[in-house]
Amino acid sequence: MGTRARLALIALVPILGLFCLLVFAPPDGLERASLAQFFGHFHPLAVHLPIALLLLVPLMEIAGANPRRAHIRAAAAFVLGLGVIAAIVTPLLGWLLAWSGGYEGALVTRHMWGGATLAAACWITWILRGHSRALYPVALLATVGLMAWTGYRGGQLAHGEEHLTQHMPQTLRSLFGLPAIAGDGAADGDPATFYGARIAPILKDHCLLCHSSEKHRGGLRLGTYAAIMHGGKDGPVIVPGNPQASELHRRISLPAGDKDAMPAEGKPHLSAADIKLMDLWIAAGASATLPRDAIAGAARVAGPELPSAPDYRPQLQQIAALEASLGVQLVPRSQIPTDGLILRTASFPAHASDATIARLAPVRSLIVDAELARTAVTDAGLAPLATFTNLRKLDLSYTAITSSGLRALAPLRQLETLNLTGTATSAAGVASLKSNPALKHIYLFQTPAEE
Amino acid sequence: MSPRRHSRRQFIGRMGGVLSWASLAALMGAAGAAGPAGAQSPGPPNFAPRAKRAISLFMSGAPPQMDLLDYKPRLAAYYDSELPDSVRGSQTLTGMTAGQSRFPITGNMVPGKPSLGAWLSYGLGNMNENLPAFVVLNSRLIPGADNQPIAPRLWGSGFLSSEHAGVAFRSQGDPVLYLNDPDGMSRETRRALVSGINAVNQLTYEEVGDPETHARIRQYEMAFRMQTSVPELTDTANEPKSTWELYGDDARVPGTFAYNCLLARRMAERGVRFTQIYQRGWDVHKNVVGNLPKLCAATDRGCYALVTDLQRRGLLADTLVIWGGEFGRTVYSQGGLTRDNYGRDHHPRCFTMWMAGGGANPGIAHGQTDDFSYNIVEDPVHVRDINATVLHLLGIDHEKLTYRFQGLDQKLTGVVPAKVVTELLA
Repeated sequence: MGTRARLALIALVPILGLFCLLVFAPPDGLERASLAQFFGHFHPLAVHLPIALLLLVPLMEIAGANPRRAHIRAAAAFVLGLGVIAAIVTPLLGWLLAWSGGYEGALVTRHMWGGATLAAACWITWILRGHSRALYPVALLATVGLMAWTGYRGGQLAHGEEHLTQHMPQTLRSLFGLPAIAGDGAADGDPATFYGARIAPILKDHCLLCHSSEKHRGGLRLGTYAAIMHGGKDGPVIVPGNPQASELHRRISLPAGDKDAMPAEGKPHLSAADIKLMDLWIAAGASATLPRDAIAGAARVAGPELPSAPDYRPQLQQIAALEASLGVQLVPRSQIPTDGLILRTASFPAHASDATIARLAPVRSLIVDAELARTAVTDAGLAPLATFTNLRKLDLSYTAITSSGLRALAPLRQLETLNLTGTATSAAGVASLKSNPALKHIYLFQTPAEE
Repeated sequence: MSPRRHSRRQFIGRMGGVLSWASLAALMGAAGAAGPAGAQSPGPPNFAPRAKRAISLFMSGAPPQMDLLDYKPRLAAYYDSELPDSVRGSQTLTGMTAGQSRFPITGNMVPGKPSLGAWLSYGLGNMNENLPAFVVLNSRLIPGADNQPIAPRLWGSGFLSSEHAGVAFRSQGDPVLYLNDPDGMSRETRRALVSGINAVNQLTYEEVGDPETHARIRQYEMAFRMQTSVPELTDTANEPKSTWELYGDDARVPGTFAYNCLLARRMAERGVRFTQIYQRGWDVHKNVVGNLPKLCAATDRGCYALVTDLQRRGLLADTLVIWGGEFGRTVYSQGGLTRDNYGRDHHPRCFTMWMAGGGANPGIAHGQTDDFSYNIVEDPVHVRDINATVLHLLGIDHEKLTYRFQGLDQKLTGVVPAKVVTELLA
């Protein structure tokens, strides 16, 4: 038996051992001996070695194809050998980290099996080199591909699931079939609740990297409301009604240098405003259902409360054409494309008529705010206006509309503010608006209904 | 067509070769950043705004905060006694801090920076293409008051394109001069005249490439449109009786503060982005007792009427009203002290502003001064934080509203970190 075959057999032992560990001692989410953790924490460091070495091999093979640089090709065998060693040691360290550091879940499992398979693939590739000119390139390519996949999963564990994709341009996202970025949506919870709108986003930004269902240091998961209230291995972290007695409050309020301070390991700390929000929420009972604006003293969030309209960007050309032909402006409310458009007529209000509204039908779902004060709009224009189902704000002041026309607005379920200043609206007209569930403000200055 | 058709040689030749390469690079950089045509704007607001427009009620000269809004009941007992040393600390007293009046308006004492209104015009643009985005209304002088001069640089555009500068309406006579075409000149003739001038300006632009030429073309166009829009704006004949009951008869006299408040409401209705009303006379270095009642009588009702009127017309929710001056005034007397005559000097350490509508948190007082209205003891708010908060209410992230000038991404809030005062948000 040659040296090479002996080496191959020796290397097979730890590879088989690795598979045995994955099968018989998979990580279970518990934390264990600190020595195992100590070695395990070298995994994120060691992981760069096999990646660099294995990427080097195909480059050396290609560069060395030129006979003048044959020495490079000869060295590729040595580099591949080092790669095999690194590809065996690294997943062993990884297993130590996962097994001792409180990891479990699908992502961890996938990454681990990827790592073990990669070790085996490296070993096979190393054997094939020199034995099969046909199979070796295939095996090498497969190994590098597997390495990329495994490395990406590892990156997701360390830096968050979207670490590579979160800043990806929209066109590239659609190419990969990824969902569009939907603003700053909450991680979990109804955005109409205080928890969903204010608390979950803070946890998502600061805590979930280490305390999610994938990776839960201290047994603590903060990704869902139920998990938050369940707490960690030392018990609940939130005492409803009492922030001072809550472990969560204590940890996030500690000065950055304290060993118990959270988030740990130099990750950015919560702002004073965020800590205040957490305290207010806990003091109010740490409810999952309390409405978003129910806690007095909490600074309100900027911007829109709920997604208000479809993305206007696919209709940009149509919007520009309508602006030009109708003499109105269709202005984005903000740079967030789902904040909707404002229908603006201030430059030439007299040009905007019932016909204008009818012709805006192709973009009706995009308009959330219709500024129609002083326009030529009449009762006849309110029926087409009622198909602008995302309308939240409507200004009809100083138009010729009357009480009887207002009944047509009943389908506007989102309408919050209606300005009828200087119109002929009577008390009966106002009564007919009772069926608009979201309506909060009606302005009736200088109308018969004012008295 | 290239925005800068002139060659480098032509350019240097014209300048007589005196420009150094460094300053040439600076010039080219500024022109390049400004772009060729159209009112440049950074696009829609960064996030959905609470306020679409703002009105600033500027009490020029700096109102004495302790006499108006920062009432100190314990002060009366200290009448004619010295200010305790523990209050003043080691601060050096200065007599006049002239020049500081630009501070809350442009965010910077150094002349040449754009004013808040110019930044808003640049950042948010027009809502009504027939009216300027930024209008300044100067109010009549109050007889006997210390009427410090004000200058157009207070509403200037600084390094921003000059079309973002505030358009000042006059306080006497016609608010805007030469709105009427002269006898014998029809609208068509005027149109042809403006078009001709613009064509000549366009030739100049193609030769020199200065973006200010395009700004001038747009200003001519705006002036032409204002010939129609301003008479409609200032025609208060159709205002209902309730308007005069609210604003008082003062509002019938053009140029009074009350009249300007009424005009500000009419501009809010018509889509002017930022209106700033100046009332001079607050620089009460002497005779606080005599002048303060006059100043309050001239401004109090207009302020109340404006906020009330905006509210009843459904405009207050998205109109931010800001009242304030340049700085505060001293608790101690400047000049002789008698019960019925004393003065108050400039005081930089604290002053009071109020905001209404437009997403400002109603019904709260933020921050606290000591018993002498001298030092801030709780929740200090810097001018740059106020500016950041105002921008926030208008949907702008103050870190993102920038303009490249002299190698810096210039900001209203400057380079020292500013923060939005969340307690002031509704």
